[in-house]
Amino acid sequence: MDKRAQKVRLSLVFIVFLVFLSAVLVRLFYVQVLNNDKYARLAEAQHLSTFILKPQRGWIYDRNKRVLAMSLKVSSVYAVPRDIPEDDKQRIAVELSRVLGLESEFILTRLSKDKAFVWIKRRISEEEHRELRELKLRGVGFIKENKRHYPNQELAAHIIGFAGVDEQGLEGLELFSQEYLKGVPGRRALLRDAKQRVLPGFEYDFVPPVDGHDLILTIDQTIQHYVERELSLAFSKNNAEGGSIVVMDPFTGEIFALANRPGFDPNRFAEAESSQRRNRAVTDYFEPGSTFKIITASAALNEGRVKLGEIFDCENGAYRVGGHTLHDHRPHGKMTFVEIIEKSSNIGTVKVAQKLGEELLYRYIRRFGFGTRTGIDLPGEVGGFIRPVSQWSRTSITALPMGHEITVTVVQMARAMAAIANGGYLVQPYVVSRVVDKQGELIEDKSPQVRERIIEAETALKMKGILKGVVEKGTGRNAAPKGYTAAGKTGTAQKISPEGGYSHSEFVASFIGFTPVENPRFVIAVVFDNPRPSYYGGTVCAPVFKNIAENILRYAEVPEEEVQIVPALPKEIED
Amino acid sequence: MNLKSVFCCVTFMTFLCIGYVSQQTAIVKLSYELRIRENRFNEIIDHNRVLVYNNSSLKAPRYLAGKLEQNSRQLCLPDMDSVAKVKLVRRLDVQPVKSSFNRLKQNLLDVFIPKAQAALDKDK
Repeated sequence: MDKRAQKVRLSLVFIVFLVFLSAVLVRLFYVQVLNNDKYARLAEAQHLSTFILKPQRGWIYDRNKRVLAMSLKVSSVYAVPRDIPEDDKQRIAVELSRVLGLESEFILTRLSKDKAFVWIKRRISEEEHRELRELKLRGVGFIKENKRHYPNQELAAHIIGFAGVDEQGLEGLELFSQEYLKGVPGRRALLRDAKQRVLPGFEYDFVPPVDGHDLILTIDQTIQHYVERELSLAFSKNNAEGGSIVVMDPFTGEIFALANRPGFDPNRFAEAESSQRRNRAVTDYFEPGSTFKIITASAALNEGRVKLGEIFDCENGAYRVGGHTLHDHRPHGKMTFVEIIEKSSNIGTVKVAQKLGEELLYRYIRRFGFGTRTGIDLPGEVGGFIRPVSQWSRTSITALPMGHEITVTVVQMARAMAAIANGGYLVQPYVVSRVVDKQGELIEDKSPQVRERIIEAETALKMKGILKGVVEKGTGRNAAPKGYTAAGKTGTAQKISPEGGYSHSEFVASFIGFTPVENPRFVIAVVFDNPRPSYYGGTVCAPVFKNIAENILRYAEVPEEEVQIVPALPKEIED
Repeated sequence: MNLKSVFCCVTFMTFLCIGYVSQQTAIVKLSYELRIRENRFNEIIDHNRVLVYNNSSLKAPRYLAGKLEQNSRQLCLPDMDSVAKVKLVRRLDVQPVKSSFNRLKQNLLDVFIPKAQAALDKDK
């Protein structure tokens, strides 16, 4: 009996134990097998943290590997509102406001949020960081972030552009070459303990960041400085509204310098107005005036429609054509073709164009690249405007040869002059020479190989001689650099008046030229918008060309040439 | 059951576990060390960049021009006729001759040097 009772009790215990174990096993199966993913995810979220590893943005160098733009690590301030006691938030807000120069109300609003992380201020200065660190404020921490720095400040600002708060390119090459500069972020997954502290050594899924590529430009920092110095001086002296200078290699299209005024400091781009940030050399178009006569002259020579010594009657300064009267600045009688360009006779140029014809003139204007963008590697470029022949009026043949009824950019004019300087080839202007990685290995050679012959070598040679004459004895005398030869053309174009027609008080002054003549090293285009009181290209722009040429030719160690000294013309040189 | 064999088994397992735990501890210690060094390395890199920035700023043409103006100095490029160029001939440094044993040792070591270290040496 006892034995039987004992057996029954044991069996009961066993059954209860079995039921309990089964329940545990079922639950275990439910958690470990059926809901494995869910709980694994929860555990991962609790213990595993994925950090995005930001890449270093590519740097920008000049042609001699001098730094123009770079990224540095700076501190950004954050707060953990949940870690800050309520009665302490006011005091902390006041302290932060004092150091960072922000409104304490704004900071207090941030600290009052029920969040684990809020930004207080991004990318603070070293002094602010030091001061805040010494205060040892509870719940306030620092994170290192990259910030773009431009050690040369305003130098080449319009070329380099600037990057925003999150290192996103916003202007210039920072924008245009964003894909090369930005790099590829990496990631790293790390375990955290119960106190959310990172446990090194338990690393999962590490993908290293790929730093952005560096840009090597064609810009020469020293030439850029010379150009900007002369531009600043002339800009303020002539009270101009705007000014642009481009210096390029006539054979390769490399841009050694490109400067605009007004300018800005890319380290403080937010303080600059849009008119200061605009890259006028590529984004602004203007009617070139007399500098455009080089196109008419080149076209006429290349087609064999004129000879150098051919005589034209310049009608003593007044020529009735197409229903209106065309004037020269000074009355001229009979002149040779060469003299027409040297002395910049409007009437003579129009007569040359009439011999050339509308179709051919238009064809050469397009051949020289006008009406389309040059394709320079800078954002915002415009192509200018030229109407097709079918839309020309009766007076177009009198206006276009003199550089009216057409709009161009400074870079286009420099490229056109380069075609004459290099023997007849249209080159592609560019500013980025190569793209390299952080180890200096070449990623991409950006120098374009495009060259298209647009005029014969003989024509280019003749034009060189004519334009040399402009500088030696014509309207460009103020452009003659000491010790070197130069060739070029002046321009003084009336601006279009808002009331219609052309203004008699607002002009665009220009001088486009190259130096030396025999083996040209530099094409220099100088353009000023509305200079006052003097507005002639020969007076305002030619001296700037001269100063720049003298400096950069010596800097480039170009041997001096034997140059005949020609007495200077009176102060105001009209063209 | 043989008590002696159970005791040996337990002792062996105990030592195995202790060994495993100490290994894990060493790994964590090393990881902390590596992390400290990595942070220090990053600090040095950042400091280097700051120095590059300062150097570039000091060499900036505008800054130099301003300094010259402050000190009432003017610089001008000389006439090319006034410049004499001197050709510099680089003297070849005589390298010490490595013994064949050292060369063999160097080659063997190269086999085990991690790729990163090799890259660092290349940069030097």
